[in-house]
Amino acid sequence: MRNLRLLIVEDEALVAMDLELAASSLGVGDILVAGSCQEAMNLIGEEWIDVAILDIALPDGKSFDAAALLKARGAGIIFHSGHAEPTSLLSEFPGAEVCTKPCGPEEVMAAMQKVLHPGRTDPA
Amino acid sequence: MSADGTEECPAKFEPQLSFPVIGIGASAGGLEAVTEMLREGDPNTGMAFVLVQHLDPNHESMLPELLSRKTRLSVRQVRKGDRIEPDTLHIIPPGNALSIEEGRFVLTAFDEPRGLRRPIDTFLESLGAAQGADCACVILSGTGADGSEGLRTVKEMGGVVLVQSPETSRYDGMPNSAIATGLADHVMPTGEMFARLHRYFSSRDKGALLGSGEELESQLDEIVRTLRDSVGHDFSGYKHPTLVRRISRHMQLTEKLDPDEYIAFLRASPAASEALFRDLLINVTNFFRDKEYFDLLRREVVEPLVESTPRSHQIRVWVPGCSSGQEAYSLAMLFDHVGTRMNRRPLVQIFATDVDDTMIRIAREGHYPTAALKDIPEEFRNSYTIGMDSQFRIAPRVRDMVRFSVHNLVKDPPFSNLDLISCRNLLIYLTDKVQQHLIPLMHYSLRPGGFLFLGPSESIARREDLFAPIDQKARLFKRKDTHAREPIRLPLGVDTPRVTAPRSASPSPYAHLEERTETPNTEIMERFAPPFVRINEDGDVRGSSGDLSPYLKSYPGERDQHIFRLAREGLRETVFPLIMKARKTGRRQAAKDIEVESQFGIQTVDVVAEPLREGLLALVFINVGQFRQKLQDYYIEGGDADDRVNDLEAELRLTRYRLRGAVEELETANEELKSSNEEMMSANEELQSANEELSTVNEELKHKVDELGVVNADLANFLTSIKMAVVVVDRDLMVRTFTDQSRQIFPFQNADKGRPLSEINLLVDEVNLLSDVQHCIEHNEPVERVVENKDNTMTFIMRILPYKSAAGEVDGATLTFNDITRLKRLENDVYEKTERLRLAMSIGEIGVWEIDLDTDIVECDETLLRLFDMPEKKEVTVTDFIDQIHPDDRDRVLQDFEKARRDRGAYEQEFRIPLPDGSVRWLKGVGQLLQLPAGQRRMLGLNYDITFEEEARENQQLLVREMNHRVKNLFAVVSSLINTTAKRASNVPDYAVSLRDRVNALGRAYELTQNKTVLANVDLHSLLQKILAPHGTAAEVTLEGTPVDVPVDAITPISLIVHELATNAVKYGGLSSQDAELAIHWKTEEDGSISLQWKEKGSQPSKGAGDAAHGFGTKLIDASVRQLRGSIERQWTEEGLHALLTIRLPGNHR
Repeated sequence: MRNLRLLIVEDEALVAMDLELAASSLGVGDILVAGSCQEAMNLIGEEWIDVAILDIALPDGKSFDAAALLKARGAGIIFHSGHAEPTSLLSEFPGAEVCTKPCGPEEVMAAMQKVLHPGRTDPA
Repeated sequence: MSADGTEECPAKFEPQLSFPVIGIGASAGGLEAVTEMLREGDPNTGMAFVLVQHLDPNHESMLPELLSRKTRLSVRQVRKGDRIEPDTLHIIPPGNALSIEEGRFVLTAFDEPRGLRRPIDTFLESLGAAQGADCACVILSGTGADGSEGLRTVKEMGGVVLVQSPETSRYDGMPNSAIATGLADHVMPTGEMFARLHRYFSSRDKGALLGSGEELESQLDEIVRTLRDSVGHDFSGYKHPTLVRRISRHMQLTEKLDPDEYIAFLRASPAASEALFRDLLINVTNFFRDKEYFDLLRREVVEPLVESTPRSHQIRVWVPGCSSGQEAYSLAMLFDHVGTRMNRRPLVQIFATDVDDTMIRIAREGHYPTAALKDIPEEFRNSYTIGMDSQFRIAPRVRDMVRFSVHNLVKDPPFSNLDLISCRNLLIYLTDKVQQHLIPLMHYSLRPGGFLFLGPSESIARREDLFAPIDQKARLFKRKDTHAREPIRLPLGVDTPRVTAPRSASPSPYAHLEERTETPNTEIMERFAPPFVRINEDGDVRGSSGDLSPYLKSYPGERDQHIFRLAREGLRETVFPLIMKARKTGRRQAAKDIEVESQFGIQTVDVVAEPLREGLLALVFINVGQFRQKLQDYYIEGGDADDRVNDLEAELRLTRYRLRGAVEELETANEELKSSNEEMMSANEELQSANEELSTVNEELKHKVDELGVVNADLANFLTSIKMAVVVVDRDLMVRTFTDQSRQIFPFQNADKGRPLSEINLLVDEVNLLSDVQHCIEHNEPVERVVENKDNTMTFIMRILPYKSAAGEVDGATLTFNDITRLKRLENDVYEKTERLRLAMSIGEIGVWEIDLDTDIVECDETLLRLFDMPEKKEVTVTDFIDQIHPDDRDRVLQDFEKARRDRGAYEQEFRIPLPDGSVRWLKGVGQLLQLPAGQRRMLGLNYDITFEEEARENQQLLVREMNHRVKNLFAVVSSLINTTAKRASNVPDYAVSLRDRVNALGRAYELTQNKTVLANVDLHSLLQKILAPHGTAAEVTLEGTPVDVPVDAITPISLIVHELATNAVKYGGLSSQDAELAIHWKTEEDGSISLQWKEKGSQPSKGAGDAAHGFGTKLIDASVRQLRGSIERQWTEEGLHALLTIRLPGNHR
C-alpha cells in the first residue's frame, strides 16, 4: 500500500477530498488528484500510476481516453460515476470495477482492493 | 231505205248465236271480281261468257288454270277459230285482240301500240254488232276507261250493261268511267250479277211481255201517262214498236214481268220511272258519226257558210237531241278547222239541246274516254282535245263554241235564224204526227238558204215543199223559200214542269196538234167560218180558229195568253163586260158594231160570247162591213172588176205584214230569251268551276287547320312541360309567346302577346336587353349573358338565339333564361373555401404536393419549395426534393417513401434540411397514395416545419439529462460533505451544526438557479450576497465588482469557499464584532480569470491556526480553489484576513 500511487480523477473537490481521505487512511502512499481529462492525461503521461479512480463525466469530456491509456499502462481502473453503464464499460475494460454515485468511500476502497488484488476478498 | 221514215233502227236483226253471250271486261283487280261473279254460277244456264282481261303480251296467262278451279263452268283459253260455246268461260289469250265473226272467235294483232290498246272496247263493239240485244257486257274492276266506248254499242243494240259497283272494286277507274257514260243499266256487286243475267235472259224467252192490239194500246197509254206525270215528258209521240221494245227490256231488267205489276211499280218508284225515261230517250251518239256524210257536210255546207258569212255576222247552228254532245262538238271542230284553213274566222254559235238533263250535264263536262279519240280525225285531235290519263277533254276553244241547254223540241220555243240544223237519230223515234209538226218548225227556224242535216234513214215527212235535197243518201237538205200554207201554230199549251209526284191529269201538249190536224172539218171551218177563240174561266185563250189578227194581237211563244192582253184597241173595252155577262147569265151575249183598230185599219165587228161546257167560253168575231184601211201606202190600185181580188190582195198584204210583225216580235222575244239563257248557262258554268275550286281549297284548308291544331297542341304541351323561361319575339320585338316560367323575368299577363317587348317591365338587371335582342336579330348571332334579378336573390344565364323561319330567314329571337342561382351559390362557396384553405395553408406554412408516380414529377406550391429551401425550378421531381434532405436522414426518408409507393400505404417522416447558415430546419412530411379512376397513380401529401418543436424537444432532453447529472452530483457532494465533516467533528451537535450550515449554504446558493434554466448563469454579486447573508448582519459588508456570470458548475466551489471564509471571519475575524467590516472587491483579469480580494477589518487578528475544524475548512477552501483552477493567497494582518482569490470559471460546454 505504501508504494501505491493512486490517481483520483474527479472534478467535484469535495468528493475528491473524501476519496483522498479514505485512501490515505487506508495507507495509500501517493495520491494524485486531477480535475479534468487534460490534467489526468498529463499526469498519466508523466507519472507511473498503479491504480486510478475515474469519474466519467468531466468538464472537458468523458474520461475514456484516460482510461484507455491507463489500461495500456496496466493500471487498475475503478469507475466512479453517476452515468456508469457497467456492461459496456466492463466489455471494454475487463478487470475494471464500477461504482455508481452516490456511494460511500468504503465501497470505492473495496473496489480498489479488488482491482489491486483480484481474487482476494479481504483488504490487506 | 224508204223515204217515209217508218223504219226502225236497227234493221231487222238476227243475232249470230242463238244463246246470250256476255262479254266481261276486267283489268287490275279483275281476277278477284270474276271469281266472285262466276263462283256460284250454274253451269246449265246456256249463257256463254267471254272474259277480256288486260294481259301482259309477253307472258303466258295463268288465268284459265286459276279460274277453272273456281267455277263450275268449263273454262277455255280462246284459240283462233274456236266456236263460242254456252255454259263456258272463254278467256282471251295474251297479245291479241278478240272479236266475233259468224259465231266464231277471231284473233287479231293489235293495231295500236301497247299503251293505247282497248281490247275490251274492241270486243264489245264486235259483240254488240254480232248479237244485238242478245248480249250483255259486264265492266269490272280496273284502272283506265277501257270498255266505256264498247258498252255504247251493246247498249245501242239493246243489250244489257252491268257495272261492278265502285265501292266493291279494288280499282274503280273502269267502273266509274262506265257509269259516267250514263248508259249503265245496273251498278252492283259482282256476286249478284250471274243470277241477274240469268233471270234477264230467261225472261226474254217468255215471249212478248206486253199484250197486243187494244190491250197493248191501253198499256202503253198508261205507261206514257205515268211517265208524263212523274218525269214531265210526253212519250206519246214516240213510235210504238220502239216503246214496246224498250219497255219490255226495262221490264226484264227490273224483273217485273207482269204488265200490271210493272205499271204499279213505275207509279210507286220515281227512280224506276226515271230509268225508263232514260232508256226511252236513249240516243247513242259518237263523234263524226257516219264520217263520209260529214265530209259531204263540210263541202256543201260548212265551207260555203264560212266563206260567205260576213265578219259581223254569226253562224248559228242547232243540234236538237244532242244527247252526250259528241255531235255538237264534232260540228264545232269542223267549223273551226275550216275557218282556220280559209283564214276566215266568223263567229260560230252552236246550240245543243236535249230533254235529258243528265246527258246535257255529261255533254257540258266535255270528258270522253280516250277510246273515243279514234272517231275523231287525226288532224283534229291535237288541236281540239286535251289528253288526261284514261280520258280526254274537249279543248276550250271548241267547247266555247257550243251552248248546251235542256230543251223540249216539241214544247219549247225553237231557236231561230239558224244556218244549220243537225237533228240526227231523233225523229226516227217519233211518230209521224210529231214529225209533221217538227219539220215545219225546223223550216221556220232556219233562215232562208239554211240547211237541215238528218240521220240516215230519217226523212222530211213528205214536206218536199219545204226542203230540197242536196244529198239524199247523206240526208242533207236545203230550205226552200216558200211560205207555210197555214200559219205556224206555235205552242200555246200548258207548261208541265217535271215533277216527281203525280199530278192530276192535264191535257197533253200535243192535244192542240191532234185537234187541229185530225178532223178535215176543222180545215173548212177555219177557212170559212167566223174566227173564234175559246177561253177558260181565267180568261186564257185555250184554242182558236181562223184568222184572228184583226181582232187580237199575237204573242207567240209567250205563256201569258190572256184575252185582255190579246184584244186590240176598240175590242178590249167590250170584251170584258161581254164575257162577264155571258158567264153570269150562262147565255149567249153579243156586242154589235165594235170598231176594232189595228195598225192597218179599222174593222167593224160583231162579237158574240157563247158559254160552252166545262167553264169554257167561245168568243166569235163576225165581220160587219169592209175593212177600212188606214194607210194609203198599202193600197194597191186595181180594176173595178178586180175589186174583190184587190180587197183580198189588200187583206193578204195586210195579213202578211201583220204576220211579219208578229214573227219579228216573236223572234226578238226569242233572241232575248236565248241570250239570257246563254248568259245564265255561262254564269252557271263559271259558278260551277269556282265551286269546285272552292271545294278543293276548303279541303286543303281543313287539312291545314287540323295539322295546325295538332301542332298547336304539341307546342302548348311542350311549353308547359319544359320548366324553363322562354320568350319568343318577332323581328319587330313584339312578344309572340312566353312560358309560365318566364314570368320570373317579365311580369307577363296573357294579354301581353303581341305587345312590344320594350313595354314590358324587366325583373332582372339587364339594361342592354333590347339592344342585345336587336343585335342577335340583325347579325344572326346568339348572345349570352349572366343576369341577376333586381334584388339579387336569383341568377340566370340569359341566351338570346335567332329565330329562324321555315325558309331559314331570321324571323325574330328566342330568349331563354336558365336559373343558375344554386349553381352560382355553390360556386361562390367553393371559391371561398378554397381561398380560406389556401390562406390557412400559407399562414400555417404548409406545403402541398402531388406526385405523378409514373413520371415522378411533383406539382407543388411555393411554400413547399421554400420549406425545402429549393430554388424555383420549371419542373421538379422527387429526386430534387430528396437531395435537399440532410444526408443522414435521406435514406430513411427515401425508404419510407418507396415503401408507401409500393404498398399503397401512407408515408410519414421527419427529417432535417440543412440551411445555408449552418442551421437545420426540421420538416415533417405526410403523404397518401391515390388511385385515380383513369388509372394514373398519384401521391398526395404535405410538409410542415417542426423545427421549433424539435428544438424544444432537444432542449427538454438536454435539460433532463442535465438535471439528472446535477442531482447526482449534489448528492455525491453532500455525501462527501457528511463524511469529511464527520471526520473532523468533535461532537455530534457541532457536527450537525457544521454540516447543516454548509448544506444550507449550498442550498441557498442553488436557490438562485431556481427560476432560471439549468444552463443559465448566476450573477456573482447575488451569489456572494446569498451566501454571506446568514453569517452576521452586524458587520458592514461591502460587495463590489464587475458583473460576472457564474456558471452553475462553479456555484458549489464558490459557495463552499465563501462559506468557509465567512464562517472563519465570524468565528475568528472580521465579522465577529459589531464594528467589524468586510470588504470584497473583485474584477475580471485580462486572461479571463477573476481576482477577488477579501479584506476583513476585524477587531481581532486571527492567527488562523487552531482546531482541526479550522484546518478542515482550509482544506475545503483549497480543494474548492483547486477545483476552480485558481489560487488563494492568505495574509493575516492586524485587521484580519486579507485573501486574494483567483479563480477561473469553467466554460459551458458539456
